[in-house]
Amino acid sequence: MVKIALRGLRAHTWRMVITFVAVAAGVAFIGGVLVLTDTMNRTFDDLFADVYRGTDAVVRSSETLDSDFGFELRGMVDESVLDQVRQADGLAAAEGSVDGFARVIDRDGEPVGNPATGAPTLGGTWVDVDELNPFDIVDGEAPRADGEIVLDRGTTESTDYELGDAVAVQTQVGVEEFELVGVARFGTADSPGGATYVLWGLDDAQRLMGEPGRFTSIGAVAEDGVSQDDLVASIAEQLDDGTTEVVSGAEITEETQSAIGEQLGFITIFFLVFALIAVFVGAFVIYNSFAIVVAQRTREMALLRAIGARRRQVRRAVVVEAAVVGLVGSAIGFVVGLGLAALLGAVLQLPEGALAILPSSVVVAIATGLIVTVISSLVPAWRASRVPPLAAMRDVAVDTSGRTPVRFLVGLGIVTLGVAAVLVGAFGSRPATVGIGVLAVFLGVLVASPGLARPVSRVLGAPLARLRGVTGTLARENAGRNPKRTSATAQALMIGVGLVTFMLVINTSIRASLDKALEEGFVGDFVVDSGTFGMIGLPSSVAEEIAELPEVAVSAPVRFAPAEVAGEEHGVTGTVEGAFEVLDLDMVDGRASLAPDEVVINEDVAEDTGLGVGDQVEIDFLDDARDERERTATVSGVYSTGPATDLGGYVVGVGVFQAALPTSTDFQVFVQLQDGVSVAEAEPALERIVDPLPSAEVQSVEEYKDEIGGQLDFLLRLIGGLLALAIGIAFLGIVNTISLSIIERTRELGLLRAVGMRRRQLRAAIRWESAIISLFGTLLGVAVGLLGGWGIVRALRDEGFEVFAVPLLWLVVISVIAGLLGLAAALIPAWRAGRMSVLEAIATE
Amino acid sequence: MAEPPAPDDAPAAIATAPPPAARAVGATKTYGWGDTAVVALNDVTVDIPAERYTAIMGPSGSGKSTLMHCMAGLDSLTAGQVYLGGQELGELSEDQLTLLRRDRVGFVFQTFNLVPTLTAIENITLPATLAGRKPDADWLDQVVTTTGLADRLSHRPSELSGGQQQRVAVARALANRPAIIFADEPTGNLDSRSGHEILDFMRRAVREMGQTIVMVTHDPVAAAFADEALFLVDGRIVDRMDGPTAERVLDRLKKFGD
Repeated sequence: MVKIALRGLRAHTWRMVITFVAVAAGVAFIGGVLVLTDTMNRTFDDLFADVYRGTDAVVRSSETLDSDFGFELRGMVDESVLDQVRQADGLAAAEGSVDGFARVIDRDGEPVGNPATGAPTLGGTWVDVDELNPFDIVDGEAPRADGEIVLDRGTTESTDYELGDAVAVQTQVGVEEFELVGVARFGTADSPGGATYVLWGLDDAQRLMGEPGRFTSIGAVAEDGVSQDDLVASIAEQLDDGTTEVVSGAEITEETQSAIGEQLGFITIFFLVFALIAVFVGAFVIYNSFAIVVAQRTREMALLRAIGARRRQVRRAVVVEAAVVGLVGSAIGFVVGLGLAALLGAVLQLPEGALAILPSSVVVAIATGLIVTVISSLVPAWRASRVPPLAAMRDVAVDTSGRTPVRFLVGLGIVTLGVAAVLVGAFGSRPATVGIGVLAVFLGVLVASPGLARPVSRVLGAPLARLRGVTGTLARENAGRNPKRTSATAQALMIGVGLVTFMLVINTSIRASLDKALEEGFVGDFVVDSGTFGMIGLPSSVAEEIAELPEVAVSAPVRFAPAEVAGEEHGVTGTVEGAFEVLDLDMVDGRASLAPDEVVINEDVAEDTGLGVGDQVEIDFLDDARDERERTATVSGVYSTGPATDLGGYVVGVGVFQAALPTSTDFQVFVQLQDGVSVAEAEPALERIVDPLPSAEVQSVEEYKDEIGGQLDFLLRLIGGLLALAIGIAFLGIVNTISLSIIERTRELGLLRAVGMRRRQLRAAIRWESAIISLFGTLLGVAVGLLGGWGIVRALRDEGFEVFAVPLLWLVVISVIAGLLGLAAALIPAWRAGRMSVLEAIATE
Repeated sequence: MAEPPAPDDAPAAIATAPPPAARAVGATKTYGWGDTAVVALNDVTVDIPAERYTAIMGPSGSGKSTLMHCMAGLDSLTAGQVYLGGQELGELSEDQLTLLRRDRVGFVFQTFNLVPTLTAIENITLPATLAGRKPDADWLDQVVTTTGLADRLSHRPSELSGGQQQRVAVARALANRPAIIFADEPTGNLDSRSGHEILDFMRRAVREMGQTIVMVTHDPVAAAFADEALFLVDGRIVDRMDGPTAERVLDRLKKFGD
């Protein structure tokens, strides 16, 4: 039987072409993601192994706090620690350094790179101890005096800066110009992973990225013959401060590598989700291919059964065929995936070198393709084994199976349960329940849709039949004649369209909610934004200068820092009293007073902790300036958060931040103008203040909305792009179904042509049939996507999703495009059908 | 439109009869080239008289189906001409041939005559709707009544018996009032009672409705329903028989074996 399976496959190879493509596309995605992230992982592993190659021990603060951005914030160490380290036995050299963010500004005044969307823009210290310095000067010399910098070669090449040029650099203190005295290479790379790097002498580095007298960390090199562990032990003896710790070079390398690995792990999972969606959609295409090919070979199967093949043998023949398709398709897919990984690696400027192809990636990618293909073929295989031997002589008629009322009702029942779960979740603020509900609806549609295929094709085809006459009638009838096939084809499309619709609904609703919140909750006129997600914030001077403008009524800076509040890690906000006014936040108790020893809390915190006006709270900032390390504040007021305007749980005066965290900067400054001053009048004055900071932006409320919308759109586009493959596979599925159906209908098409159907009428009928299937899938997808989107938006109403908005225009556009793509999907099959010889078609068995 | 040349041996009597519905002149069809060439039609010249029921007889491989396909515009000749109602088919494009089949030819095949997704009435009116025309209601009524399909019109082919399906096929062929109807073994797949019904009905279509029917068959009983039988052997017309009966046809066929 295996031989029969392989012969069958060989005879029908070209009918399986699209099936191969469907398998290969999904596997290529999976393989590409795995190989690319493995390669990135290895690249970063090598990178950090290089960075710490000469480092035997690192001394750093032992105080850490989780930031809200998923990485750890660590305190700084005092200069005096360096003296202690230098007392250690077995030490060859030790040096302190400061690292942070810095943004190079190019000759046109534009910042280079954007840490919010791309590789980081970093600053560091030029360390004179070679072992501790991963950079090598390739041109010029190291920075010797204040005001001198070295840049990485990647940056000098992209900006055309030359030695001796004055280079403007933005840091936490604002923008200053420096003289470029050297160009450095990072190991063998021009730039470490596409990041830009500015290197200063120690004094500049401390002033620009930390504070004088403090280091980010201290690197140490052991004498020859002294092991890392011995050095760590001898340094530890010297440290008298409980807030510092020492780790070996090997440990810090591993720690950094695993931190990056974890980040990459999230990225891998994110992309794998979309790869699996593509594979899942592919499964429908594979299922359909086998179902159709089995139907076409009914007589062959019947003959096999008649001459004594057992059911099991027939079943196995189909499964073996699937296994071969799965294996070959997956192998091709994996090779394509390697190409994709190499291509993306080049785009991401990974250093040249072989891709990291781990055996596990090969196994996972190919096994996924193989298993999905085999599973997808099980039902068709089972069906093939049920072919009675007598079917050898039966005519292929309209297959209306799958339309049993029981099946439809069961499906409808599941849909109903799903909708109920969505409703419960939506009104009960439980997004997870909504998710389960949507999944159930999807499954229910899966079960019920063969029953839907006919009526829906009828409805969709009704205008066609009226407008296009018999061509339309045939298209409509053909779309509905094999409900299982039509619905499986349409469902593949429904998945992709459903997800896109869901994303669109969420996006539109966020934007609408934001608009509403800003309209109702923001009485200010401008937002000055740091433009870097706060990585290089606005110096305190910006808000102060704005406040002094005669046009301005309120200038409210906002900065954040993690802290330990009443023994718990919690974010703390620094601002001014005017912020409550600009953001239109109402006090439920007390006053919005931010004297140095006062704190305002929001309702949620008040409820969670039981704190009230007059209570005392201890706030301990990480890396607090020493003398004011622990500060006790009295709750002066409790405010109620607006729908989208929230200053955070604990709000203190910006002066507290300046005292405790001298290096902190503002994330944004909210500006409200004096009565009678127009936005246009005030804008030039604001621009003058912000102008020196190239990454900062003065945004009117409208611009601010667009900015946030733009960030959402970026995400939407990314996800849309990742879903494109799944949708593409779904359309291939339509091409597949139509092509295979046409082969099945050869005689019928021949008859139509014989009795006078013109080629173009025939082609039109096939194209419209395809358009109906496509629209069917799209409408199902839009419906499920809308339901899910509504459920999630409603469930998250208290989290700021105040408005449920339907992207009507987009949904219409999607449906029209789906119809057009449906027409396009049938172009080649229709062309082939039109070219069929009438006589041969009539004579076909 | 070129006028068909009169056959050399045209008897004077034909001048009073209607002009032939179809005509083949020197029709030759070969398949393949060189040594492997197979001659399916060998210089066939024949008139198909209008308003008559003509049976084309012959053993399998005699070229009878090829002759029918070529005369119906489904296949092209290697040499010679075919005329349908005065129109030479060789000079028509693929699309013009399609329109000719749609508007002036009716077909009844042995099997698979109907589009399974369309109802009986939709199948019957298919050529007219393909042309974007409304079928002539009175005529349609007459055809439907004669074929006894009135209560089956909304059924799909799968809900009809073989005989009923064939009647629908005949009704479709008639519905357009074509210049000529080609039937290819129309009773080949039917039991003898249903077969007789169809044959009888086709004969009535010729006698009572003035249709022209050409039927390819190898069944002497079927041929007996025709007004005239043509005998094809090895791609040549070897005989014609007026008012054939099953016995005479059988006798004639037996001679081919010699």
